[in-house]
Amino acid sequence: MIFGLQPVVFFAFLSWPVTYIVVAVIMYFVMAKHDRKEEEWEKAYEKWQAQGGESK
Amino acid sequence: MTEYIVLGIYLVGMIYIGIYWSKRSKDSESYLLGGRKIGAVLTALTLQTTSMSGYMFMGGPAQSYKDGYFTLWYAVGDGGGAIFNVGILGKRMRRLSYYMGCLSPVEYLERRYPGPATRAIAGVIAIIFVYGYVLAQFLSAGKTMSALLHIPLPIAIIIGAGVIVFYTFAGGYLAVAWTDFFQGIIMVVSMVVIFIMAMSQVGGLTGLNESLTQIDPTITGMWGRGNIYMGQWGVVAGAVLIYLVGYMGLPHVVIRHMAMESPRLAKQTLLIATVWNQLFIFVPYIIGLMGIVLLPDLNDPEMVVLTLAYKLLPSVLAAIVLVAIMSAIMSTADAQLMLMGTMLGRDIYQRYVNKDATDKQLMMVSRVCILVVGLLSIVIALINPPGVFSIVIFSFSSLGSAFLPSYVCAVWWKKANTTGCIASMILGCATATTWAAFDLASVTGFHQFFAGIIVSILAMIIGSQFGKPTPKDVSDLVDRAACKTKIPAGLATANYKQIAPETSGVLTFLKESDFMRETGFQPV
Repeated sequence: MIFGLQPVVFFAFLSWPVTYIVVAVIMYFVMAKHDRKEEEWEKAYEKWQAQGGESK
Repeated sequence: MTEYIVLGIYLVGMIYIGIYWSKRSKDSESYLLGGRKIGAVLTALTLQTTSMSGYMFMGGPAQSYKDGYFTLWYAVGDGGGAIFNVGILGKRMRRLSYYMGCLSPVEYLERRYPGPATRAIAGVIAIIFVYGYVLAQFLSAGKTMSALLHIPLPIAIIIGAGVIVFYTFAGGYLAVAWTDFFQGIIMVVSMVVIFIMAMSQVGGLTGLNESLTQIDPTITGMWGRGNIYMGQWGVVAGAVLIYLVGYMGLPHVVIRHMAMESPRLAKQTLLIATVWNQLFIFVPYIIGLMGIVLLPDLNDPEMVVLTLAYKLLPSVLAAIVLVAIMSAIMSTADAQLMLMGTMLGRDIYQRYVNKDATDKQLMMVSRVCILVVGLLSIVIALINPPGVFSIVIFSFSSLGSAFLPSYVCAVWWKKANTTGCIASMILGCATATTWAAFDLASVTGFHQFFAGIIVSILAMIIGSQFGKPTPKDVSDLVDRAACKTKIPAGLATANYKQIAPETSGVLTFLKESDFMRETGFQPV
């Protein structure tokens, strides 16, 4: 028993808050990494536009 | 008396926020989308409080009081809703809506899936079901105030809904976002305080579960009290999915992505919203379970949170819980009312009535629409005609099924076209609505959202194989929103330098040795 619940019930329902917070923290760092790449891309894109690249 | 004073202070505070932001909404973009200047904390809280209605204080705990742990399947999905919603849509939707110059989520769909039918169908579905939601929230606000403060229902509706209409009308999106922010704090603090106090009464989580097992072992089981849902995995899948992914289909929720100050704020928004979710979403259901132990003879399970508040907390704190319930209702109603004004102003008036409307005219018309819709809703809520409020029973599923594939595919699948979008909206909405209207869930074992979303996704995939392909200019914008537009190699060097820093030395060597100029070699 975990906190008075059968393990399967505990993991089915009450393990999620911790799981979601861990996933959110991982997502934060993954998205931060993507942000850095995208920032470089945006700079290159702007430079390209300034040089007469595709006009959108 | 304490309740009247606390509620009075709260309502005056909401009105003040409306007045404050009314002076700062200078143009239509600031009135309808907060000038796209909403920070991460504000976005996270307005996103989540808009998603959570009074159900979390009343309906949710009442369900767990009746069915036991089984009801937490809804919390399991809901708790991860922000991860899916912000993680999948946040950044890309913010970028694409900005590139396409959209102010409303219906306009966004029309520009992504060009064609007059897109806006007409999306507009009709959104207006019907969002309006149904507004009506239901107004009535809920009135009923809650009436029951808790012992005042006549008509007066309660006029006060509760009147304040929502006023601050939304006056301050627009910024007022809605800031009231949501304060309401979100009140909601989570109230819930956590009751949770801690009640937990100390039942002997902690272990004590609670042991007491529940003694009352009825099936309460702490997987399949509901009396195992009434035994083996119904279709119902479980629907219960989890509806809130895990369903918010991505609600126009009044996804518009929050469009108002973010920068796409880069999505990561903070995701983290803050997820932490808020864990504090707010699981707790009400567990409070419902604690009610089984602490309030075994409760006549109305919807009153479990409030009854516990009055039993365990000082009167001022109990009054704040009452305010928190009103906050949950108002934070949802204001967003829906705001969206009604946005759609009527931007998607109807500026599109069909006055195409050359100036910015000031658009802002004025949106304001008037909010006022008219709000006052009309108050009148209808006062009359309370039979049948009108049944719309809300399937509003969530119908909106989610209608729009979810269209919003997700808009930024993740550039081949998704107008035909697919229209087929997805019509068939998804029709399936979910029919399923709910004829209670097919009890016959088939599949939740209406589960059925609606499957049909909607299939319609999008199959429909997109027919009709005109996505126009090149739209397709290019989708690529740009995903930062996937191909840029000439010489300008994109920074990208692979960052991915593989060791290559920068090689690049410098190649440049300095004139190797690239002489051979014409360009790194890709």
